[in-house]
Parts: sequence; structure tokens; C-alpha cells
Amino acid sequence: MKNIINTILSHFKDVKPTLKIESNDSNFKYELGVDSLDMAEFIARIEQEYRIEIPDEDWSQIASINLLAKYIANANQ
Amino acid sequence: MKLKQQHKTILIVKPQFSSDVKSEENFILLQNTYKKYGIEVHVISYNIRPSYNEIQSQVQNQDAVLLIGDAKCYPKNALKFPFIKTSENKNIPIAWLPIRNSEDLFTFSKTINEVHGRKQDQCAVALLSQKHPRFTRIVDRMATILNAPSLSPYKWSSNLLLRESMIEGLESGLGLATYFGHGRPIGWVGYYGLRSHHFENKKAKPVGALLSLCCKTASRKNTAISFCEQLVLDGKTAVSFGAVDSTLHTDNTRWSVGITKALLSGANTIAELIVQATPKNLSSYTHYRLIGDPLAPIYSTKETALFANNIKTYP
Repeated sequence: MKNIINTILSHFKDVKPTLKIESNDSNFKYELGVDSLDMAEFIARIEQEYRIEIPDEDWSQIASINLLAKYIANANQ
Repeated sequence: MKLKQQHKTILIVKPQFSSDVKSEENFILLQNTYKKYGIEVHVISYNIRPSYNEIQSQVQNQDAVLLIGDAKCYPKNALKFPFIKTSENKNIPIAWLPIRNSEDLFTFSKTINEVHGRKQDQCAVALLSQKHPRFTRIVDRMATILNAPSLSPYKWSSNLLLRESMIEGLESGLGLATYFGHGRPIGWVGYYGLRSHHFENKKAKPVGALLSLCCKTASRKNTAISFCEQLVLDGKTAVSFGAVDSTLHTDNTRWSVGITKALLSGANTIAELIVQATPKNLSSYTHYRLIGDPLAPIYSTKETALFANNIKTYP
């Protein structure tokens, strides 16, 4: 799980280089101010990295780094 | 001459031109053009267009498939996807070439000869988009990320230059161009409405591959020949990539990330680019079709890159 979180953080840093993440539970939209365009690129990068599919309907379930890491871990099982 | 083209194979599925001697002659010319550049050609001639499954059973050991057929057939019906799966689950790009007469085959052969025959020094890629933050953002991101010695990205969004300058740049023979924005069967919404007739320079060099990551530019709704098909038939690009239906912005963002990654990992033909860049979700690729040469190189000459550098933009 730690590896997944590190990978997510590195992609997140590429997409939003100036953003500081205080907690891995921070909500992308409401606490970190990630807009839908940033989110689209971020998700696309994660999908490419892990060769998984994250349908647009599932985006609400992956509202923070921890939730996204769990989603990826489940998808890879 | 630095040619990156390696030994490749292509399966061409074509109609039997039994009474049309001119078409048969021009087809042989096309076959010989591919052979001239070290591409092994396998041919299947048909009376009734073979089904997807019939083609699928023949694609073993091929790098790409080109399906030639009557232009009365829509790209949407001619192919299911921009690639075909082998029995080992490998994706092989498949392209559609609509032909109205023997002249179309001749023009296509000439384009193939030009794009395969030029030096492939640099991947000069035009990043095009409609003037809207949603699309210019993708172009900005791609331009930032495509930072490698063999890549020359040009940020030519509609807010940065005139349509005429953008076309002048493309007509210098760029290897690759990608467009993000709204699209219609007759062309792009960006650049004050771009249509195929805007490419009017008769002496222009063809683009290697022109990718329209937007809705419907390969759709035939309310038009005889779609924008994507027309550009190939006019010899303006060796291959075009466009949608036969509406697409989602999130899916096109997935394509932008995939294309960027594929370019950075050294894809040098449209075949490699499409196979590497295809997102995993069905909705991302199900509406897209390849029109033209599925093995078109996306690299071009240093001179082209220098010319593109001098295209005037207004930042």
C-alpha cells in the first residue's frame, strides 16, 4: 500500500506541482482544490501506470489519496 | 539518411478490381511503394467485404492491417475499433481506406511514398486545440511534458496563432498533429471552423498523422465524405484518426496522457503510437477509427522542425 501511495503522490506532484498535501485523507476537490481538469489528467495517469480502468462514475469514491490507493489495491487483486 | 523504419509487415484487404484495370495498376503501385520501404505486404482480395472475425483469423504475425473498400461504406461500419485483436490478445492497428475511383489509390500511394521516404530525424508534433481553457490546458500540459531531444512540440492552440499560420506549419510536412476541442463531421470547431478545403496549397507536404481527439470528425452524418477521410484522400495526411460518434472529454484526456507517454517511450509510427496510447476503458477507443496508412511514420525532417519553429504565434 505504501508503494501505491508514493506512486500516487508522485503523479499528483506532476499534475499539481505547487500543491502541498498535509494529509492523505484530504479531499481532492474540497480541501485540495483539485478541479475536474486536473482530476481527469491525474486519473488518466493512474490508469496508465497501473493499467486499470477507473470509470468516470467511480470518481466520487476516490476522493482522497487513501481512498484511491485502496481502490487501486482492490482493482489489482 | 537516418531512417527509423524497421522491417514491418502489413496485411492489405482489398476488393477485386476485376474490370477496373486502372485501380489494379494503382494498387500494384501502392504495394510496390510499401515494399520500397522494406514493408512486407500480404494481400487478401475479396468480392464481399470480409467480416471482422474473418480478418481477425488472418492477422497473425502482422504489424498492421489496411482495409480498402468502396467509399460508400461508412468508417463506422467498415471497422469496429482502431485495432484488431489477435488470438493472443495482441492489438494490431487496422485502418480504413475509402476509395471512390482509381485516382484515390494513386494519390494515397504518392502520400505513402512521400512520408515513408523522407528523413525521420525528429518528431515534430503540432499540439492543436480550440480556444477554450479545457482544451488549451491539455496542449499546455503536453508541451511541458514532451521534453526529450527527439521531440519538438509546437503549442499552436487556436488562441495563439492564425488558422493560416497553423495550416502553413502543418503543410511543411510535420510528423504528427493532435487536435483537442469540439469536432463535426465536416471539420474542427477550433480555428474559426477548420475544413478540409482550407488545406489549399497544392505543393504542400503531407502530415505523417493527424489525430482529431474530438467528436465525429470521421462520421458521415450530413456529409458525403468525413473530414478525416477527405484529408487522406486529398493527400494532406498519410493517416488520420477521428471519431465516428460523440466522445467524452475525460476519455480524450486519457488519450492525451497515453499519447504523451507513448511519444516519450519512443513510438515512431502511428501503429506504435495508437497501440501504446490506447486507454483501457472501452468508451475511450470504441468510437475512434484510423483512416489511411496504419504504418505511417510520425517523425519528419530537421528542416521541417526548423520551419515550424518560425511559425508566428502570439503568446
